[in-house]
Amino acid sequence: MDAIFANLAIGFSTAMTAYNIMWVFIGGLLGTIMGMLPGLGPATGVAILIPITFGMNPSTALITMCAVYYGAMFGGSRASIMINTPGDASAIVSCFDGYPMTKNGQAGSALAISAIASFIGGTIGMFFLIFLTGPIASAALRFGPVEMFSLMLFALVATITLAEGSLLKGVVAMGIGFMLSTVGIDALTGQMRFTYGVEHLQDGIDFLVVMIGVYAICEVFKNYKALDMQHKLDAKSIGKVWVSWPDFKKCIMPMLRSSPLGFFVGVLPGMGASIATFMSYAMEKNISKTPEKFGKGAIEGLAAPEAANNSCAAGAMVPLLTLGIPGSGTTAVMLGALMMLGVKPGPILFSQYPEIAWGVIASMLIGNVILVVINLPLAIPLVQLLKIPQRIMLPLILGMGFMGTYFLNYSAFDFILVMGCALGGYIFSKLEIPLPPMVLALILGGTTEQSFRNAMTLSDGSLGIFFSKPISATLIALAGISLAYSLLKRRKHAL
Amino acid sequence: MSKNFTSGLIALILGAIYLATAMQLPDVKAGDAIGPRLFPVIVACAVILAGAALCIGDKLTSKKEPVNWNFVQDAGVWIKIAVTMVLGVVYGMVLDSWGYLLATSLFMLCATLMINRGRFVQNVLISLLFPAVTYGAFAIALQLSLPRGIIENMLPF
Repeated sequence: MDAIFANLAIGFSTAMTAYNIMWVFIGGLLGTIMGMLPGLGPATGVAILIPITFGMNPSTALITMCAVYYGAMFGGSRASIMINTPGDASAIVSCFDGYPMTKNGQAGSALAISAIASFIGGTIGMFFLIFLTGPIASAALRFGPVEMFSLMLFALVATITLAEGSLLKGVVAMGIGFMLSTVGIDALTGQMRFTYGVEHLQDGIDFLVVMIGVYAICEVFKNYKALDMQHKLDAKSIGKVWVSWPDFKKCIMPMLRSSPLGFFVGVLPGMGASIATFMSYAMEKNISKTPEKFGKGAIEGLAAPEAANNSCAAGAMVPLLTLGIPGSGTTAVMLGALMMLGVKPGPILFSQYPEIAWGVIASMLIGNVILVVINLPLAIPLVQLLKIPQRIMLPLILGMGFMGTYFLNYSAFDFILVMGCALGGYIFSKLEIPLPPMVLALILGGTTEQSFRNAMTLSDGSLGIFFSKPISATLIALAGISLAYSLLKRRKHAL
Repeated sequence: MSKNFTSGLIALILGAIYLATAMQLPDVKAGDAIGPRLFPVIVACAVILAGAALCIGDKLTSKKEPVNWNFVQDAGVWIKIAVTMVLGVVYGMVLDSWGYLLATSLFMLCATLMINRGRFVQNVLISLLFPAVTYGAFAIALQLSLPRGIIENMLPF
């Protein structure tokens, strides 16, 4: 316990500088705006805002990206509440009761409870994060190549099986991610692979290029169909952005129940905030004495998913910070940006750079407070941004995406790759091939292959080594159970 | 063609190309028991098997969901995508020589003229303000390197 407080003290000494607090504020505000604009969401928001972190020191860069992520989670429900159009998938559930509240003339209460629940969920999630990261990071320090490979395998299988849609399409997506990760010089033998004589591919494909393509630019392509969509918004009817004590009392238990649920869902790779929000909503509806009010403007039906959403964001930071494994698309983009800055999240981050790891955790606590301050008094001016039409937003997203592409390697070739990835992402969306397995495999591909080959070298080419070590065997068994459960569930669904 | 069959077909083609390339990799094993070929071969086989399963599964089922490419109804969308891709690639190619401000202004003008049709003044304003604001924020305030290009001597900062 003393070690945790000592580490937190180090973290606060890093985070509590005027410069870092300024970036928490800027990142949180930009994230809130990105999160609330329909069709963008946190992954696209972080991808677009990557350029602002270039030139920063690693601590400030990670702090800023976390603030953007958190801000996007806070802002995601604004559009759900006001115009019944979720900013991203995790804000879909907020439409169920958030929009009916607006129609009932309670938009102010809905916006207020959404911000308060996000704050409470985020804070509870942060406390879990603080107490879990240390032990997990310490345990992960003992991981060798055998355990690392099994861990990656488990993360990838979990991403495929827990994601919605076809299992086989998940395998295809994962395979494509691995294919992209093997392009370039092989780290162990120096052999050139899959470059097809293209000099620019010798260093491999920068996964941030892929991220900007499949998230930011691809989102623009998807939105070309709805260019003239203009949301009708009557900001004058919002009223006071505050929640009454009786309403708040109704929400206390749903928020306290949903926060741990959201956190543990967030820890699992591939689960994501959308699943956490649906689960918390279903749980509250089942528990409620008045389930018939859900879907008609029940305030607890909005508070529960909002709390789950933000605690899930804290949960998703656990595998990212302690194991270097991103649990979601957004954390994958963050990991890519960090590696670009020379920081590799994982257990070593906690032992060698505690000021970065704990600085980020402390900044998220500060950010949570700043975001509730931004989101309560500024709720009305912020929702005015929903009036900006797509035909203005899309060129700006293109401009930011291309600037980010240029900053990565100052290479014209990256623009060809980015456009190819954007088209690929668009085709994926048309075919309903899930993106997260591809993204995760691309990011983890290098480490997965190296761990596999190192383990095979240790065992003289015997696969038995993966089953002879307890941690590795457990992780492989979990991957098998996850796969079997998913197959059974889908088969039952098909019957 | 259905979504599953098309996905399977793409997987089969990609997997086959990847496998053929992987099989041509030399078998180097310097301090490495399995060499650089085995992992890509495993990946290729997994993709090919998943692709084949998708195609076969699609042929066996009566529930087929067609891909909504909508090339005719959404011709405008596809044209915009194609133009954006060309614009993006050209922008990347001229960025260093023309400089950020000039290249971005022209790119933004083309993009806004395509996306935000019929609002010329608004588009010109966006095309001038976006590069100016981002250049100020990134190149001047954050001290990041952005190319000044052919208008280098004309810039006051």
